[in-house]
Order: sequence, then structure tokens, then C-alpha cells
Amino acid sequence: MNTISTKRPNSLQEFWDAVTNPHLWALLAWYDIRQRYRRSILGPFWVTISTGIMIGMMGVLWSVLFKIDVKTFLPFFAIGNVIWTFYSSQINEACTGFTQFESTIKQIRFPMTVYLLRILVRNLIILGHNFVIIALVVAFVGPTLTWHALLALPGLFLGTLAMLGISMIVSVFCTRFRDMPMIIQNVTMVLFYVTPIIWRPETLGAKHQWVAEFNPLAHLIDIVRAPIINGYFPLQSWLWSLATTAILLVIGIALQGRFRDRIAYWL
Amino acid sequence: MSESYIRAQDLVVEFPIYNASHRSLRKSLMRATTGGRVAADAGKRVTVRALDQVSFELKPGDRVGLVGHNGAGKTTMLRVLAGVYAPVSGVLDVKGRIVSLIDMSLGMDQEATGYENIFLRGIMMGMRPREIEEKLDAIAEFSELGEDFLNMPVRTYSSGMMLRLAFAVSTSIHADIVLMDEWLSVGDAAFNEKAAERLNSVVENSSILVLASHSPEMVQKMCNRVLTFQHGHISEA
Repeated sequence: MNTISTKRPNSLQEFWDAVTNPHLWALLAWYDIRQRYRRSILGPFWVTISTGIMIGMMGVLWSVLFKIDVKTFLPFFAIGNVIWTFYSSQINEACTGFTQFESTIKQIRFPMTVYLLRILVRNLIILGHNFVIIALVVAFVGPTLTWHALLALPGLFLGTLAMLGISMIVSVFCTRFRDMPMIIQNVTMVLFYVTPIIWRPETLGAKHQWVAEFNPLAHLIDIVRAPIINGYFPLQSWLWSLATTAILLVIGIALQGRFRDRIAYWL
Repeated sequence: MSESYIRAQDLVVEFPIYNASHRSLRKSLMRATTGGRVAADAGKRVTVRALDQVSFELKPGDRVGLVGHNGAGKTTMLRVLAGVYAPVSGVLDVKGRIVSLIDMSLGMDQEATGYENIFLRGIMMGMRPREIEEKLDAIAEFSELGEDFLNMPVRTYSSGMMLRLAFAVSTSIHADIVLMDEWLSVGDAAFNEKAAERLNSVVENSSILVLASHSPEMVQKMCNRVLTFQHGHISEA
């Protein structure tokens, strides 16, 4: 931070500078959330309540319509949906990852990833609140938890890293091309339906199994959901997720490094 | 402190001017697929050259005034020095802790309390939370706002009070290089005197001052070097 020069910043170095200065994102994200819900009594729990109502209604409705056992469907849907909400809102918010901080970016030089991490932490805080839904569903509907459920945590961590990678990619394109945010919104909406959240992969049948099989997002959800629901370590999904995350991060860091200096001009 | 320097050589800064058509992805894709057809309008991207082949060297002790008409490149130069805009070509080498007093209330939040805003503003100044905590009492005292007000949301402050707080935080930091866009004046007469004193001491303790200003008196009073900007070119008088 102290010295600048016009040599192109090393993208890895800049990424590292962002990660190692948590006060620039974790603390500011915390302030953001507090600011957003200041003077509201329930604060972020309003999001939890509306998500909870939606999950409760849809969960029951779907299991009646498709004649599935509520006891197995509701936990599956609740966990999948809460995680999906985290993933999709992060992707959509990353579209404005730089434009919403325009005034700061045009005044001060911080590592660019700082802004994306800030949005990521905001969404993690909201996810923390939504976790109440999962806890309630598991407590009242099932399944019975085993120690294996803890494997959901490293899964969530990997999923978070993948979202950081995606954010680093979409934020660059969305800042340059102002049509991109709308495209991404539509894509995430479509992805919701082709990802096993409101339907189980088994119901696809052998012929269409590939929809769930070759969908990285399905695996990124499964690494959190499977340990809680089925109490096992989803090895295949982990391998998929590891590969996806690695690719996203490599592309993301490279793109940020390549276009870092242009972002201020694009705003 | 005596180590700081700014070396600029042949800096060029160009702003691309995008309008809706240039920004759209469709145009870019069309350009990629149709080659020459759209290229006629795509190739004519408008750019504005804000700085053109600017070279200078600042050493410790330099108090530099940037003068020139509106749009001559003064503010752009400050932002380049702050690391916001990377020059399109040329070499810029800056050593030392840069403190930008260009927008003193950047990062502050109307809904947050005075104390919270000390942190928010401090972080924007490049301080770490621990550093801010150490300076908290001194900042609070300098702002003269009192504990009651500092625990209230900033939106209840008058604009003078808010500026005081912003000023108190922004000038609490040691800087090697100070960037300013116009000299600052804050609040009522009594505070203004105190603020002027503080600002002078910040500048005196820094090793380089870069001040963009429209006021010839101010530049004459504060600066020992003057860089005149004209259409993105500079000349030293």
C-alpha cells in the first residue's frame, strides 16, 4: 500500500493483500449489515422469516403435489434452498461488486478483491441467520444428525471459495459490459431449476441423470447438504467441487490481475 | 521520512468514453463475429487525454502547487498519485505513505454513530483498527463533540460538526505525502483556527505536499514549487 509503481501489479500478491487485511472487508461488511437493518428490531432475521415461510410453504406443497414424504423432502429442500440463496445472491451481487463502490474506488487504492470479499462476508452473515431455518427443520422434522454432519462445514468453506472465484470473474465483465448483470440474473434463475434443489436427482431417471451429474452447482450444494441429510462424505461431489473451485479461482485471479488497472476507468 | 519521493516520467492518462452502444456486450460480440462490418464504428472509440507526457520529480521538502483551469488535469493528477488511475503509458514511482485529503468524509455513514464513523473513516485513511483505537481519545478530544454527540448517529449533526469529525480523523495520521484538492476550512471561527494549526502541522511533518488549487494566494503561501497544467501538459514556473 505504501509504495505504488506503474509496474503491473502481481495478481497473486494483490489477492493476498486483500485476504490478509480483513479490516477492509470483514469489518466493513459487518458495518454494512448493521447499517442496512438499523432501527429494525428483527434486522436480518426478516430475511430468515421470509425465506422460512417460503421453504415451509413450498416444502409442504411440493410433497403433497408430487406425493413425496414431507419428512424426507422438507430437510432436503430447506438445506438446498438456504445454500442456493447464499450462492445466487453472491453471484448476483458480485455483478455490482465494483459499481456499488465507485466513490471509494475513484478515491483510494485498495486491492480490488477487498470489495468482493466484503460482499461475500455480507452474504455469509445473512446465511448465518438463515441457518436457523435448517436448525428448526432438522430439530422438528429430521433427519437424525450424526457426527458426519460436521463435514458440511468444510463443504461450505469450499463453496464460499468457489463463490469468491465466480465473483472475481463476473465483477470484471459486469463492470465493463453493463448488459452482463441482467444476463447473469437470468442465468442464475435458470440454474436454480436445473440444479437439484426442488427436485431430487433420483427422479431424473437414468436418461437425464447427466443434468445433475455434470452440474458443478449441484455438487457445490451437495457437499453441504449430503453430510447433514445422509450423514456421509460425498466424495464425488467433493472432487467436482475442488476442481470447479480451483478453475474459478485461477481464472478469477488472472482476470483481476489483467484488468485491475482498467476497472477505475470503466466506472 | 526523508526517503519519500515521487517520480513521474512521460505519464499519459486517457479516459475511454463509453456510451450505451460501446458498453454493450452485443457490440463486442458482433465485432468479434462480423469482423470488419461493425468495426468502422467500433474502432472509433472516443478517448479523452487528460494527462499528456507529464514528467516531474518531487523530493522531500517539496510543497507543490498544481494550478490550471478547470479540466486541465489537476484532479486527475492527484488521483494518479493516489494510485486510483493507472497511467496508460509512462512510469510513476512513489515511495512513502500517501494520505489523501481530497474527500475527507469518504467512507462515513450518516446512520452510524460518531464513534463508529471514526473507525469507518480511519479505515478509509488506511489505518488498522488497532491504530484507530490508540488514537480514538485524541480524535474525540480534537473534534470537541463530546461523548454524548459521539454516541449519536451522525445524521443528527450539523454539517459543521460532521466536518469537524471528518477533519479530526483525517488529520490524525502521519503522512509522508499529503494530497489535497483545495485547502480546507472547517467550521466556526474558533475551530477554524485550531484546524488550520493542525493542518499546518500535518503538512509540516510530511515530506511532500501536493496541493491542487484555484487560489493563487494559497499556492503562494503554502508552496515552494508550482506546476501549471494546461490541456494535460505541465510546465513549471
